[in-house]
Amino acid sequence: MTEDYNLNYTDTDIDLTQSLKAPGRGYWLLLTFLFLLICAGGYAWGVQIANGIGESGKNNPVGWAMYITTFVFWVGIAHSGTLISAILFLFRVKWRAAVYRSAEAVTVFGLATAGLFPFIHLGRVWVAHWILPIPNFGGLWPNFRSPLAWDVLAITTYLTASSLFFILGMMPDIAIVRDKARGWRKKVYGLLSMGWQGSDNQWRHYTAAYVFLAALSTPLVISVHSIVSWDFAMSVIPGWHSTIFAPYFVAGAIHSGLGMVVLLLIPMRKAFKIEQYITLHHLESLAKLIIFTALVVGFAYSIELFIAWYSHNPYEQAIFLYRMTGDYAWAFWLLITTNVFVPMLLWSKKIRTSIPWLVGICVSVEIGMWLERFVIIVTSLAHDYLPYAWGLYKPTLIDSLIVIGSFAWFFFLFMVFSKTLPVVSMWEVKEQIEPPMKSSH
Amino acid sequence: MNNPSLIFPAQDLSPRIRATLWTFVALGVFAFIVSLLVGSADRGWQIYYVNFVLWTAIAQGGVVFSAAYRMTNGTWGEPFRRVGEAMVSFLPVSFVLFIGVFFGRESIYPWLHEATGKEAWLNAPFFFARDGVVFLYMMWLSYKYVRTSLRPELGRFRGQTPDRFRAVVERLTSNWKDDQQEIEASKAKIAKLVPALLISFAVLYSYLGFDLLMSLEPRWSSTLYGWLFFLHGFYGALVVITLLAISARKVFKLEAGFATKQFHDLGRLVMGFCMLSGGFYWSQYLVIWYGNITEEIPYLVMRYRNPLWAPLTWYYIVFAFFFPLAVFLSKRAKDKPASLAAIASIILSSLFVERFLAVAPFLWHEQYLPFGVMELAVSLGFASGFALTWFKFIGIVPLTAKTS
Repeated sequence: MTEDYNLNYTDTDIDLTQSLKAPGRGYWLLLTFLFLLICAGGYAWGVQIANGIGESGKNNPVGWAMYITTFVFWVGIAHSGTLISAILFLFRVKWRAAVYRSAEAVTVFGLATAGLFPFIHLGRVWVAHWILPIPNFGGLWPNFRSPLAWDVLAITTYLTASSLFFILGMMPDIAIVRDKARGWRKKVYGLLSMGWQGSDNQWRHYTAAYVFLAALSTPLVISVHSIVSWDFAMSVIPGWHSTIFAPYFVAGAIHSGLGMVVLLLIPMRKAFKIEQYITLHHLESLAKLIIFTALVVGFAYSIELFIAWYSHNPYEQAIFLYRMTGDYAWAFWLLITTNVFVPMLLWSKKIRTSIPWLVGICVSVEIGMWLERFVIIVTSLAHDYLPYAWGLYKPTLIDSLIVIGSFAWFFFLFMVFSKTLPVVSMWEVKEQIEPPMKSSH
Repeated sequence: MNNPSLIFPAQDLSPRIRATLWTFVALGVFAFIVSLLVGSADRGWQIYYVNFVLWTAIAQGGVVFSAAYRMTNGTWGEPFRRVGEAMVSFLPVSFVLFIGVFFGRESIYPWLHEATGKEAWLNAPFFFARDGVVFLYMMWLSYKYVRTSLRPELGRFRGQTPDRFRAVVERLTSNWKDDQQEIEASKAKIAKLVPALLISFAVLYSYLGFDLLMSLEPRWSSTLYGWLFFLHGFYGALVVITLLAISARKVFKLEAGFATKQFHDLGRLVMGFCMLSGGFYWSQYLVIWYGNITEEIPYLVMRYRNPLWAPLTWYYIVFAFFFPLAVFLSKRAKDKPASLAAIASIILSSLFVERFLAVAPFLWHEQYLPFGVMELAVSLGFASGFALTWFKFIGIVPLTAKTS
């Protein structure tokens, strides 16, 4: 039982299905705006396909730039869902009930957005099937010793497991919506609820499957971003070849994911009038996790700097000096500030329970985490061993529109989700409400 | 049990067990001194150092377990919290042992004899001064935390305190105000001490990992090594908490104080940290193996290709990661204290091997394994000393005291 809720079962069903009612004008306006941005991003991609990859700012030596930065950013965003859903579930943290559905949606849509970037980055997207492990006429075969091939396997596995987790978690709630819906909606929700009746037998299988998926997802989430980090760490490029990358990328991923969840929950709870379900206590709990992840990433930065100095390796020392003082020093210091120092404000209870402050700090975290990947990727390529091979990267309008379009695509998917599926888990919230006993009335 | 909220040990450690533990300690000291006298000083200091690093990190990890338990608002394993807190009693011993390391520095630290280019960081005065300060600070913080943690629980029940604890309880609860005020004051202090302890442990033990172990191979470095070091300390602490809880339960007949469900949860936690440590170890291994560069690869070649060390490496990998993962999938393995104790002992042996592998390969240049009767005696002496300090603490304060 929790002190958070002073509700009953009926109110819960009514309140939490309000979000599924026909949307207002503001919703459609925002959705249209996002759609236009997606179109702009799509147009930019079209230009790149038509004219070649040179339309982006990528060059030699900076062959990986904003696309891979944004790819890693979205994979990172996708990590919050599993943390909140699976890991906090295994740790029996009750407050997750109100927020995990949105976090899982962030995971699935984050991966759906990240998945676009390898194709965008490829350039000749029409031959993307060449990277599949199928025998073909050209005798091409993916290099399974490449972390890029591991990436494909890890991310698709993660997408499969997190989608299953997402759908499974919603089944009892979709059944409630089905029972209230009419016409074609009833059929669609009936299909999605997979015949859920809430019998003892179904609940027994359901809870067993849920625990199983939670246990499966936890190592999976750690492995996914570890593998993404190895895209860099396996190479011997200064600033990339670092053993700490795997846990540090995972922590950073969760950091940005938590920030995104808070940024989505705050307007959503207001728009759907569900403040009594997603309370300030929930947001505060997420803010505390952000302090933790900020400390972890901040500590990882300090270790990297220390070991670069300690190792006595001139190339490592040079790249870290370059990051702090070179062409992209503004990005380096901005990321340190936004990612580590700004979240430290959350130590103050007054700040972490203030909505405007929370929004500001979470935006800061998102900027910081995007810049972190940008700095890692671009500076190391721009400034590796040979001064002769050095070169700078400058984004073009095409890169920028594609990146902006990806953000619009993510928010578009989330908005569609918020009006079509229950955004808060009704059955788990009910578990924390006083049961309807005769004596209590 | 008359009062389930306060469980005192049913009896002090029996004289027979105490005498046995003291005998092992004496044998360990004797073996170590003999090694110094008969010209095996390098071997003596080597095994001394292995045990010092192992048990220090475990003792600190035990206190940190208690802090982490509070930080996460844990309610599943209250009795284990005190088991972890009691490990604080080894920290003063550990500091004395660190002073001992100063006298064995010539046998332990290769950077004292060769030019590494890292003299600004790796020089004896700075090394011992900074690490000494770290040990003192961590000891002070840990004692402050444990004392704050104990005070409200002891104070609320001080009327029921058995005679043998009375003096200590009076001291720990001096200037006692009313119960509610004390609980509130303790909560406020704990809320500050817990994050301080957790952050200090993560940061300072990472740097201790670089200093105490990574510096033994001064031309090699790994950014992950510090995290791996403190994580292993925490993993080891969980394993030792399991062993000590099972021992205390049996020795003090406290079956009612430790429920099967709680052991099950502890088993799950050990399994979780087994996977996490395994993941970290793999992350370090893979990046070095794949990179295959001259400054890094000797670290792996030495441990995986050298016939002297390779079997130990595989022992560590199998019994620290794969074996616990496989057996802990079984619910029964986690529920039964006997099976849990057996598994925990095996994991502890593998963590010992890991520390041995972190120290010995770059210090030992002969073609046979530097592990014989002397090393066994010293290691048993350390383990017994650790147990003695822990049982001494538990003889003074309640093993489990839960303000319900």
